Amino acid sequence: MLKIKNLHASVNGKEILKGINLEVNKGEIHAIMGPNGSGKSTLSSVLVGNPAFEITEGSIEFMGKNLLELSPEDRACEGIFLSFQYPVEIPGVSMTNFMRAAINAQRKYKGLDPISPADFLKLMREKQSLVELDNKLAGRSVNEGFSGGEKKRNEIFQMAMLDPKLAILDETDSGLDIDALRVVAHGVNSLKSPENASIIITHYQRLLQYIIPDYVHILYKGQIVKTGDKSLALELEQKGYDWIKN
Amino acid sequence: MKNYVQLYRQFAERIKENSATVLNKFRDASFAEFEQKGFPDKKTEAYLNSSLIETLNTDYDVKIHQLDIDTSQNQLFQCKIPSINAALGFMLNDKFYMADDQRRSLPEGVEFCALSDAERLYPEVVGRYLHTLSDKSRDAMTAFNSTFVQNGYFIYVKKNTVADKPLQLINMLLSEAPMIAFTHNLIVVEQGASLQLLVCDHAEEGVDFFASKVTEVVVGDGARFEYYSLENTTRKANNLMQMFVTQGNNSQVIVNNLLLLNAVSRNQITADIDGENASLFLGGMLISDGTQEAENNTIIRHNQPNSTSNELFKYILDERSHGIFSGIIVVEKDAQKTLSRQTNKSICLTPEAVVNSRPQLEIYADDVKCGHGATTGQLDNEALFYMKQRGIDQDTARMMLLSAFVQDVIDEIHIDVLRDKMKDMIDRRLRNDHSHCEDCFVHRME
Repeated sequence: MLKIKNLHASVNGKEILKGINLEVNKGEIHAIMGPNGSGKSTLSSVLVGNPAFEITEGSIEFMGKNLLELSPEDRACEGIFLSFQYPVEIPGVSMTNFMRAAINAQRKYKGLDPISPADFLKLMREKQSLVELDNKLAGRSVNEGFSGGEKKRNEIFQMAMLDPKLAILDETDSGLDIDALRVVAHGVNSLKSPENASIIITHYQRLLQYIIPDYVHILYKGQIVKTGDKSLALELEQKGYDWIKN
Repeated sequence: MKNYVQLYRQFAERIKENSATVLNKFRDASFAEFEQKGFPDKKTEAYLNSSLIETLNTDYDVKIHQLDIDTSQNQLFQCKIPSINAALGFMLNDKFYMADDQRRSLPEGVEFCALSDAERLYPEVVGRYLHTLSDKSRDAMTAFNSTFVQNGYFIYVKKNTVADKPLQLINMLLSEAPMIAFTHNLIVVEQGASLQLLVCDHAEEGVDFFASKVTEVVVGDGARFEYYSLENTTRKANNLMQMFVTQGNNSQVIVNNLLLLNAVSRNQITADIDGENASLFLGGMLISDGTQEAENNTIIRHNQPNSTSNELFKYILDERSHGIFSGIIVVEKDAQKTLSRQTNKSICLTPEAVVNSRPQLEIYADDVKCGHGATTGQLDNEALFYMKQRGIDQDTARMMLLSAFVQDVIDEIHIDVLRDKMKDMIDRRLRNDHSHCEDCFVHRME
C-alpha cells in the first residue's frame, strides 16, 4: 500500500528526515516511536503534503501512485487521513458543513454523486456514537471551544466518516486522560479492517496497550534505527531512549 | 475640481425653485458653511486615508432640476429576493417613485414618499425633525449636500405601528454623462413602532457617479428600526452616505451595511443613544477587489445610562483594494452602566491590499464596560491545510473560510429571505462572479 524509499526532507533548509525506508501493507498497524525531534511529525506532515516541508530525495508510492506528485487534497481523496497532533479550530464553519464538504469532495474525486441529506445525517449519528461525541457537535464550529480530549475524539470521528485506506495518527494520545484514550482506541480498533492500514506515531507505549501494532519502528535523528514487534515498545519503555542513542 | 461655489451662486435661485421647499430654509446657511470650509483635505482628521474627495475631481453634472425619467413601466426593475414581499420604492437619482400597487400595499400607519410630498402631507413631522440631526454635523460634506440637495425620501411609521412587511428602497443612478446626485432623507419611527428597511444601491454601468446622501433617523421610545444597506453598484460609482441616528428609551436599532461593489464608498454613521436601556447594533461587511476603496466611519455616543452598543465590521480585501475603518465610541459622563463593544476584523488576500483601522474610545463615565479590538491578517493557512487534508479543494476551502469570516455580520440580518440571499450573493462574489447586472437580485430589465 505505502512504500517509502530513502526519504529525505527538510524544513527551512534544515534536514529532518535522513533516508527513511518503510513499507506498510493493508491490514497492518505500524507504530512509530522516537524521542522529541527525531522526525516523527515531519514524516506525517510529508505524507499528507504539508507545503512547509521540502522533499530533497527519495520517493513515496501509495497504491501504486507517486504520492509526491499529488496535492494534499488529492492525497486525502486517494485515502490518506491524518489525525492532527494539534487539530485546527475553524470558527464559523460548522462540523456538519465541514464534513459534508469533505465527503462530497472525496465522492466527486471518485466520480460519485453527492451524498443524500438523509444518508449523511445517518452516517453522522452512527459515527458520533462510535467516539461518544455529543450530538450538539454537529452545529458547533470545527474544533472551536472543544476540550483537548474532544478535539482528539473529533479527529477519530472524522476518520470514521471518511473511511480512509491509510490513517496516520500523530500523537493522538498526547493530552488524553485514560477514559478518552480508551474511547479513541476503541474507535480506531473498530475501524480496522483487512483493507486498511494505520501508522501510529507516539511517544509512549501507553496507547499501544489499547491498539496492538504489528510492527514498531524507532525513529532517531531522521532514520529508522530499529524495527520489531510490539515487544519492542515495551523494551523501549523500560530502557528509555538512551538505549537507542547509545 | 469643478467650482461648486461659483456654480451655486449662478444657479441658487433655480435650485431653490426646483427643490422641496422645506430644504430651502437651510440652504444659504449651508452654502455659507461650505464656502467657508471648502472640501476636506488630506489633513482633515476625519478624512485621513480617504480618497473620496479626489473622486470629486471628475467633472460631474449637477442637475439643477430633476431629470424626467420615464417611470410609466413599473416593470423597470425586478426584485429577485424570493418572497421578500416588501413595499418597493425607487430613488431614480433624486426623484422618488413608487408604483400605485406598491403604494397601496404599504402597511397601515406607514408612509413612504418623496420629501417634497411629505412637506405637504406631514408638515408637522417634517418640520419637527428635518435637519435637527444633520445640522450638528461639523463635516463640510454635509453642508455641501445641503447646498445642492433638492429632494429625498421620507419614511414615517406612526406611533405603535408594527409594519408587517419590510420597505425596500432602490437607489438607482441613471445618466449618460458623469453626474453627482444629492438626496436628503428623513426616517421617523415613532414610539412603540417597528420597521425593517432594505436600501439597495445601483448605478448604470460605465458612467462616473458621485452619490451624496444625508439620512436622518429618529427612533422613538420603545421603537425598533432595522436598516440594511446593500451596495452593489459599479467600479465607477462613488458614494458618500452620511447617516445620523437618534434613539430613545428602550429602543432597538440595527444598521447593517453590506458592500459588494463600488468605486470609492464612505459610509459615515453618527448614532446618538439618547435613551436608557436602548440597544444598537452597528455593523457591516465588505468584499472588495481591483482598486475599490470602502470606508465605515462611525461615531456612537452614549448620552444616557444603561444602554448597549455592539459594533462589528468585517472586511475581505483582494487585489489592490483599500478598506478603512474609523470608529469612535463616546461614553458621556452620565452614561453609567454602558455596555459597548467594537470589533473590526479584516482579511487581506494579497500583499497589495491595505486596511487602515482606527478604533477610538472616549470614556467619561466610570462604571462602564467597553471593549474594542481590531485585527488584520491573512487567510488562516493552517485551517486551509486542515480542510485540504480532508479532501476539500483550495477554492472551496477558501470560500468556506471567507464565508465563515463574515457569518456573524450576516447573522445580524433579521429578514430570513434577505439573509439567505446575502449568503448566496457573498458566495458568488467570492467566486469573482461580477455579472451582477444579470444576476444581482435587483436588476434592470431590458
